[in-house]
Amino acid sequence: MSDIVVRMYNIDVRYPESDRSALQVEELEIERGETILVLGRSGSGKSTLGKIISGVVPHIERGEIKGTLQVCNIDPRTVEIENIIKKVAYLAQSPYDQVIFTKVIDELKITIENIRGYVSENEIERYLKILGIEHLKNRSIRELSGGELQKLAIACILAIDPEIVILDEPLAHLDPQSCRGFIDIVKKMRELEKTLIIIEHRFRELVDLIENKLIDRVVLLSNCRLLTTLSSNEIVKKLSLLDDLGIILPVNCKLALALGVELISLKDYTILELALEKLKYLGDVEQRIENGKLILEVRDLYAGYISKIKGLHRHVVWVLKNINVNVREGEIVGIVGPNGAGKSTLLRAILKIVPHIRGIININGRRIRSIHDLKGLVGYVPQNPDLILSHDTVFREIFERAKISRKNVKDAEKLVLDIARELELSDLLHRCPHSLSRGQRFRVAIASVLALEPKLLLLDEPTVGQDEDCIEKLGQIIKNYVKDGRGVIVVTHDLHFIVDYVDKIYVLDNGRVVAEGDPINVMMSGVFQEIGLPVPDYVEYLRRFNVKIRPRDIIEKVRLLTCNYAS
Amino acid sequence: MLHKINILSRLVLLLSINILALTFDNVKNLIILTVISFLIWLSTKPNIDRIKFTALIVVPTMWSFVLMQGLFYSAEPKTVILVIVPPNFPIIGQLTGGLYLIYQGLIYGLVQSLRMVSVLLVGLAVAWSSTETEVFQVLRHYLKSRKLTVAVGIAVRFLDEFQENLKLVRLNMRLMSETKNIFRKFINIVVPLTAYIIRKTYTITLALVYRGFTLTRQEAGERPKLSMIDKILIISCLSVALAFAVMKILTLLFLYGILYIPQLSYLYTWVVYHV
Repeated sequence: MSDIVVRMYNIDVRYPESDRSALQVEELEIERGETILVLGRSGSGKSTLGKIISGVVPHIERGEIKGTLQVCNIDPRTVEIENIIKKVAYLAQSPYDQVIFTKVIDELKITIENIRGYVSENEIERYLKILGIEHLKNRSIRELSGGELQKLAIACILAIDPEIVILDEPLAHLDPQSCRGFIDIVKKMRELEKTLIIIEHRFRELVDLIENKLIDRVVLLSNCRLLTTLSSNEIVKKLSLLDDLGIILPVNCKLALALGVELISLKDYTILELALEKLKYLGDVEQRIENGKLILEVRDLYAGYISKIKGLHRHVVWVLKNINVNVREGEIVGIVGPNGAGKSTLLRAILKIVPHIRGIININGRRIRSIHDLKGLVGYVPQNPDLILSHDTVFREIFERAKISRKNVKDAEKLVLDIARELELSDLLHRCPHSLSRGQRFRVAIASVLALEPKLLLLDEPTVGQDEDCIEKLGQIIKNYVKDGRGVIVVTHDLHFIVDYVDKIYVLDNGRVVAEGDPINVMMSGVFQEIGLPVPDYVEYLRRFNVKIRPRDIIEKVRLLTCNYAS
Repeated sequence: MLHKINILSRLVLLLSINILALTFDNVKNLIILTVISFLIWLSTKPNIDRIKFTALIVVPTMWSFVLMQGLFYSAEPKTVILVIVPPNFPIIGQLTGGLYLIYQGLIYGLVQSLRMVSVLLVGLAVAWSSTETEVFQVLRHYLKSRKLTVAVGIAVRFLDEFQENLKLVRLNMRLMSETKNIFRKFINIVVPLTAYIIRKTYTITLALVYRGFTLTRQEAGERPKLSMIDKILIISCLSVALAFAVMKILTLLFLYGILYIPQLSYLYTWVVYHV
């Protein structure tokens, strides 16, 4: 039997509603047991590649595939999906949606029974043990982190024993701790000699995998075409190619490109030392002065839910304890912390949707006592943008809110056009919001909230499930937004976003603020390590050099420096 | 106490109470049945919220059943125990022919409400003492329905998330909309939630397909073993309930003139007067 499990020659994929090719592959062969990373920016055809191998296209999503396609010696186009799933497993983005039942034990029990018709306790434990989650056996799904849910979903898939496992954007919904834990999943899959295809665009989070030789080859896609395949050793030499393809590189890689220096490895941060040495002669970094008017003042806030009722006594569990948070005009404030620290509860407390709240919340000098008091002052964009899109066109979606803030129809229309231009939605104004891509829908949701011109904008995990382009765009949008004397609060796990765009962070742990201040200062203080939050690699070097500077600024200054030298 | 017995025993207990509640016409029997149900309900050690919840369902139900039947009982004979609106009272009395409280109506209402309450109390006790895992166990092993298991599983799993999203949609409506149009308000809630459900359905479908739920295997799996207590409980509950049901059916067949067995004449009398 051949050791090639995937063969693709002259592949051309088209979706019925589109007249252009969704993916073109001249030749691709994947060997049994290989771990492949499919890399490319959003819309490059990565997911389509995974979907044609797994049979999602054409069996679940309509699409036409031309060319030669063989997966485990079968053509997925011509066999029933029931036969494909015994060979290929496909795991879509969100681990939260991959788990169907409410308890870990039920999830595995019902899955295995469904396949084999019987299940023993030993078998359940065996699959949990493979992924090191046997201690979760009797736990409720609600108590699991994103990483644990992902492991559970993979444990269920292993019960089918497929030859190929495809993980489509496995890091999209994971917090930093779970992202670091993903390396264990890849190691296990390699131990089990599974062919693993990881589809991702978050290159920065995958560096450890590549450096630990857990990726055999990287397949690069651009503009719906397979561009080239590289071995993991070649990656470090092809950084300019990745940069050209729009892949967001780690700081050291960007610096290497700016300085025209080759790195020894992707974890080689000597370049940062070099850059920091040079920057020492450029003087200290400007410190931001907090001088704006106070928009949000949270004082001695306690917020919680009822957990137990004993007799006539209700026991309230205070998720937030003695929280003090300020947001000033022109400020972007980040709320960070490990899972269960109370980040989302803080946002909900400000929005007055937590059942038990004690303390004072003032917005724009006005005491907030109910949701009614928030109207016109606060805009809120939930993690799922779909929840605020209710009109038939993008124009209507924004216009209906603009009418509230502007009253005059002509002014409202002008506001819609201005916002649409800024958020690059002008061409989509006639489209139905729900027919757009996730990134576009998110921008429409933000646009409709911005049309209300609230003084304070609240964003709950805005980067989850977003591609890097969208995240960059979002960062720019909120930076422009606060220029007019407004404020933004972002609750996020995304430390890169925090470092790049946030002015001040509050670090929450066990419902208390354990640190606050400039993101780089806080990260360098060691608080993150104390509460078990991983920090980006460059922080260690910044600490060593005692330089409090954002990576984005380092790169800009280095680019400036090299330009000066060149001139 | 209830949670210590097998889920199947609990369901059999519920079924038996159901059968007995339908079988009994005698108020005394129904009161005894309701007291038994109440004791079963008490055995779950309900907290203050559950007590309030139960009271909120039981009291208005009983009250409205009894009062409605007492006022509007239509069968014969009727014994008036209180004249509320005399027939000669201007307009209302003349239009309605008078409003009375009828003894037989009160008894009939009491019988109906006791039937409902006895079943309701045990139903709540079974619901509170059963875990989701036990419900899936019943669906898989006893009802043999894989589709139903998955459907119930998904409904239970995503119910919280749906409620949470509904809350966020309503919050955004309050923050971002000034419409007073009820239809528009309805649309503002339905459209985002429908979009959410459709997208969720797609991802869940993918998860189900690649978890092998399209395979044609019929539901199987070893049934959990019943303890001796469970076996005794199941047999005795079903025996008592079915015995009463059979006696009642035989009596009804006799009363409607369909079947008469002379040897059972004593039973007919006993059932008519005591069951």
